[in-house]
Amino acid sequence: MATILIVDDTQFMRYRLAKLLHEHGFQTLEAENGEQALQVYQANRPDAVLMDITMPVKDGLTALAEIREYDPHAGVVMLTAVGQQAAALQAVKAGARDFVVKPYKPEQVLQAIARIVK
Amino acid sequence: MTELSTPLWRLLINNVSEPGYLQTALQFTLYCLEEMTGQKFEISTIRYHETYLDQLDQVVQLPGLTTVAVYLGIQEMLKGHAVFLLKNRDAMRLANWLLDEPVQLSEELDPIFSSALAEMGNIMLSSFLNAISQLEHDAILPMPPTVIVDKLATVLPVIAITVAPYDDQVNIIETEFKLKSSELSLRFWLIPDPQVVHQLYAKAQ
Repeated sequence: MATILIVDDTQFMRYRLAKLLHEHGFQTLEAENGEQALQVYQANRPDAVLMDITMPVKDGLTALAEIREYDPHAGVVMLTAVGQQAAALQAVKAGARDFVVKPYKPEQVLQAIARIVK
Repeated sequence: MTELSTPLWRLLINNVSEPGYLQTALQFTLYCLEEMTGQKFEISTIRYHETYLDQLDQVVQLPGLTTVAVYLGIQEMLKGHAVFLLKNRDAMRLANWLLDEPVQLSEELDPIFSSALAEMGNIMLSSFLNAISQLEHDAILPMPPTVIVDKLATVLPVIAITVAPYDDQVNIIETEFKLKSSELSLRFWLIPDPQVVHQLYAKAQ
């Protein structure tokens, strides 16, 4: 069973994404910010990461760079609000595999994950 | 405050009664509300209020009810404030749809429900500001949301102090989203920063 790390400062988004992923047979891990994300990634080596861009303590772009430095093969999908597409494109240039814009459709998240976890 | 803030607010206020930026941007907000809840809403009212802070309850016309307010600040080109207001009962129903599971009616919102409503407000306002940004080719950012849950008589003074700490007047662009199949309504207030209001009046004279 593949494990997905969900990184978002909003409890609701973590809850909703975890529920969606559980319903489709994934295990999940959670982190509230980029700093926690790196720690959880290093401790668990999840199969993919779903990560918000705007977060306190350490933002998603910084965490993406650090996770990729630790594991150049890390599969990271960025979550972004409307209006942050420029930051999402910056993330893709920095090694993110994909991005999903909120409010997302469940199939968009699942397709992005499926491209990483085959 | 950028130079564009005052003319952009004036443009939106002028658009209350005619097609334009405001109504275009509100369609994106409506879309986000429908996407998140899976329900069909409509924009039932768009109006503009100029009122005194101590008369805010007359604008709302529901002073005794327990109300949920989601407050967000707006930076840059559209400096001001945004508030989503809804009855406690309606907030519970919205949270139910957002979380996709039954929610118990209660006087206090569980943290996960508060988080859901805050994120709903954040995404709806972000979509509105993004639409305006596209039209103006510049970025407008919302500030992190704050959720206040209390009786309206308690919520309104908090909003008043937040939106106009040195002034006694408040100007509101109000949009009401109504669920097509029932009475549920969500009020969305856009409030220019008092400094913008002063400039609006100064330029009008």
